[in-house]
Parts: sequence; C-alpha cells; structure tokens
Amino acid sequence: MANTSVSYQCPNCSAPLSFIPGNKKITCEYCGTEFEVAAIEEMFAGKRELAARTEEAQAAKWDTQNAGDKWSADEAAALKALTCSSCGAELVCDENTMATECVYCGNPTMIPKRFDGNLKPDLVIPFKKSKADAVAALKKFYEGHYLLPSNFTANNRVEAIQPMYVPFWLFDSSITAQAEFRAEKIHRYETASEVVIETQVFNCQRAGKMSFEKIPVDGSKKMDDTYMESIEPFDYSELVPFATAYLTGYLADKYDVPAETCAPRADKRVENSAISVLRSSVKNFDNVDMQSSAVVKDVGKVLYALVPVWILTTRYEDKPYTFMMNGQTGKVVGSLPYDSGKAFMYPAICTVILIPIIYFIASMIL
Amino acid sequence: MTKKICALFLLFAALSVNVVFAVPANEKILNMSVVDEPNLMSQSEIKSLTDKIKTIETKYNIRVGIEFLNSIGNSDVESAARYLLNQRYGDGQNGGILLLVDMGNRKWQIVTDAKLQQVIPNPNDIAGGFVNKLLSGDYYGACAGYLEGIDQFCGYYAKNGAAYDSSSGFNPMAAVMAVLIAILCGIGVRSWLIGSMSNVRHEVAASDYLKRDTVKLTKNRDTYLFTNVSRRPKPRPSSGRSGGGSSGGGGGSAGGSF
Repeated sequence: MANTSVSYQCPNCSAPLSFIPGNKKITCEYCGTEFEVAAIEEMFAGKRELAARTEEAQAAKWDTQNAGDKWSADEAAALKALTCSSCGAELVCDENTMATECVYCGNPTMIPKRFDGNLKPDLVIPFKKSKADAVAALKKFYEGHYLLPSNFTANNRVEAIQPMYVPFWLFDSSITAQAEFRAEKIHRYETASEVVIETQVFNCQRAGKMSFEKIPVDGSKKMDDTYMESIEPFDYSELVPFATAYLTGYLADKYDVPAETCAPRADKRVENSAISVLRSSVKNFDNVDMQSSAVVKDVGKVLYALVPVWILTTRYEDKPYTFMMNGQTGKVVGSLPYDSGKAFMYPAICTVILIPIIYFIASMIL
Repeated sequence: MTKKICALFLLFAALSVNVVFAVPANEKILNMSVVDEPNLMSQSEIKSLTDKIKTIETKYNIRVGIEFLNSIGNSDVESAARYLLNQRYGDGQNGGILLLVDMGNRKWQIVTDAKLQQVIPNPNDIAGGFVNKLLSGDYYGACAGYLEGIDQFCGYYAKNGAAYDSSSGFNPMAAVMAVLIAILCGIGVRSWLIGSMSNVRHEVAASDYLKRDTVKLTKNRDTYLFTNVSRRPKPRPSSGRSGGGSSGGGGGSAGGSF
C-alpha cells in the first residue's frame, strides 16, 4: 500500500514522466497528456512526504514497557495455593491459568505459582451477565435462523458453560495519517450525433491527526481471534482498576501472546479506520480511488486488561459447537449448524416462486 | 396568416403528388396481387404466391397484396404503402393488407386497413423471419412466410372470434432468462441463509474506538490534473434491421430496413 520511494509517473497511464526542455508543460511521451508543472510538482511533493512518512511508520514501535504492573509480594503470597484451600483436592490447570474453580467442591481458587515475573493486569471489566443470562442469550441466538436443524433446538443441551476473564491488550494511539486519492468528476452530455463523456481527474491529498482509544486485541493463544473480535465492542466506562477479588468464581488466564505480537493487528485496524476517515473527506466526486497512504503513530500506549467472556459449548451429531458471549454486553457470537435439506428447500421455493414473476416481466420487455 | 395556410396546403399537395407519382401507376399491374418490378422472383414463384393469395382472399374475404418496387424515391414508405393499400386493396369485405418492399432504399412496410387491424393488431407479429429472408435474398420465402402469417392470424380470428395475442404465447427467450435469473437468486438466497448461521467475523476497522473530537484535517488539497474525453456516436433510431409497429384508427403498420 505504501511505498518508501517515489517515482515520477504519468497520473493517466503510469508511464515515466520526463520534462522536455523548452516546453512549459510536462508531457507524457506515451499517452500525450499534458500537465502543468506546478500541478505535478505539488502532487509529487505529497508523494515524497508520504514516502518519508512511510519510513517513519515502519520504524515506529508501540510503547509496551508500561503495560501491566508487577504483582506485589502481598498479592502473590495471598494467592499461593496449588491444592484447593477448601477441600485439599489437587487443582489441574494449564500453564496460563490465573484463577479457576475446584472441580470437587466448587471453591474459587487463584493459582499464582506460575505468575512469577509476569504482569499484573492494569484494568478489568467485571462480569455483568450471569450464567442464566448466558443460557437465555444462547437460546435467543438460535431464533430466526431458518436453516437451523429442528432437532438441534429440540434436543439441545448446553454441555459446558464457563465464565472466563480473557487477557486483552488495549492499544491507545494518536496517529498522523496521510493519503493520496485519484478522484474523478464525470460529466456526460449529448450532442445531436454523439454521446460525450468528460472525465476530469484530480489528485486529492489529505492528511490529518486523530486518536484511537483502547483498541482491544486478545492476548490468549487458545482464544480464537475472530471470536474475540466478534464479541466487540466493550463499554469502557465500566473498566475498573484490576483487583484479584474480581476473579473469584471465574476462570482467568494470563496472556501468552505478548503485546508486541498483537500490535500489528491493532495497527492494521487503526490504519483502515484512519484512511476511511480521510477518504470520507474527499467529497463531491463521482469516483475516488486511493493511490497511496501512510499512517504514522505519534503516541502509542498499551494497557493490559481482563475482559469477561462466557464460553458455552453444545454438541450436535457428535460435533461440538462453541459460542461466546460478551460477559459485559451480552452479545453472543458463534456458528450454528445448518440443515442441508432446508438449505436446498428454501432456495428452491424461492426459485420456483420467482420463475413466473421474472418470466412475466421478461416477456413484457422482450 | 392566409399566406401560411396556402403555403402549408401547397406543401401537403406537393407531398401527396410526390407519393402518387413516386409509385408506379401502371394500369397493367392494377389487378395483380403480386408486383415484382425489380424482377426478383421467377414467374413460377409469382404464380405460386398469387395462388396462395387467392386462396387466402377467398377463405377470409380479405385483400392481400405484395409489391416489390425499384424505388419510391424520397417518399415515406409507410405513406406510400398506405396509399397503395387504399388504392388497390381497399375493397376486401373483411379488410386488406399489403407488404411493400422498396428495393431502392431497402425498406419494407406491412400495412393493414382498419378492418383487418381487428384481426392483426400488430403486423410486426407476422414479420417473424421476414427480414432475415429478405437479407439472404430469399424473396419468395419472405413472401411465403408473410402469407403464412396472415393465414394463421385470420384462421385464429375465425376460430376464436378474437385476435391472436402474440404476447400471450410462450416466449422461450423470456423463459430461459427467467429460469437463469431465478436460479441465480436461489443461489444468492442460499448463500445468504448459510451466511446468516454465523456472526463470527474478523474486525478490520477500529472506528468504534476512534475519538471523534480528536480528528483534525491538516491537509485538504485537490489538484486538477487533466480531462479525458470519450465520444461515441448516438445509435440512429431508424437504422435497425427491423422496425417497430404502430396502430391507429386507420389501421396498423410495421416496417423497417433490411
């Protein structure tokens, strides 16, 4: 998308441009289009700036040093337990588990043994939705899907429901974006014998500054990135400083994907949105195509947060189906199975109904 | 004002005379049903057509004419055809119809009078395949097809008491188009239904997290570069191989070029 070098090319045919001595205009030797020197100079000055900015953008890094905090000695001491403090059963969990529930007595338990040297979250969004809310939301999610197999809902039983705090990196960034667009104004008119289409071509340069706040990117390998992006957005007005008390009764994982690894996903989203903002400022044209762009991060800050997610698993024809619900907003995401018979029947009915209607219209036209 | 009326009258008279004199007024051909001035068909073909015309005329009490002329000059082919119809084929009890082919300008016209318009509302309907045969030089075949069309329309009218509505017939082109479009719509509906079973999507933008009040445009410059001009000639309305049909109180007509 963005280049770090600039070559002078004809805006009409992309052939190399050269200045012909003695001529007041720059002429493309290939397509013959003439350009004002000032217009070309202005256009390529923008490109040079873009190229320079692109180099800067490639060099810019996120400041991840301040993301998260060290566990205090008190906190670590309070969390020391590998066996259930209630019934003494041994807790089995993976290497990233921060909090879990004893499978024997249901006692909520913290497991800080593997926390040493890891970060403490800065923020947490507490759970707002209960288990009953999650089950009800899932049932509601099934509604309105015409291809859902009939026995899926009839015999449906949620196999597992787990509330989990998922580690997220929240990226704050202030950026400077620049983009160059090729825009066209099309004027069509008719003479007595011809249809004439005049296309005026413009070079539109836009630059701007804007800030994005807390773009969430999950820092857990075992959570599907697409699912985590689908449960967005979150209401950040309910973010609170992290306290271990929020984890009691819930599963919680620590991050296992560092912020530096997650940053490109946030960068890409910021870039897309920034270009979209600039593009929306190119108005009163019939066609607009982006030619090049550069987004430079002026300030980049990262916070480490835990986000509430309900994970619901159900089974149909021996195949597990996983759904996730935003534990704050109640938004459910997932992929439902579909009935192949219905997937054939409904389109077939639609086709059969449409044939006589289209035939009637077509026979009127032909 | 009087001068203007006189001028218009003279112009109308001149145009009428032009029509009258542009078409042959040979006494010899006044009683013929098939006129072949450019000698495009053999005598046996003309006789065959004449026999067919006689059969149709007797069967339905109508007058049928076919006239191939060298040229009608600058006269309007429809006006000339209507003039000839009234002059030579206007005595049919149930009406008259004429096919006029102007070989000089390569134009054809079918006209019916008001009576036969009840039977053949759109003469274009009996010109199916007519133009292609004219183009290929099969003049006899073109005329035979024209007569066959008249026979079919008159036969339908005699049997049903109403004109055959060509739009009510089966249109294979429309049927094929309907099936294809409906299948495409069906495929589209299927894709949409299957797609609606999942709401798991990659998020490509961060618009939800943009602080709108921080957006500041620092550069906003539009530079005109050049203009491309493309021209294409307008399609000529009368240059098509086949023409449209029309009908009015005085009868129906259909015509075009070949």
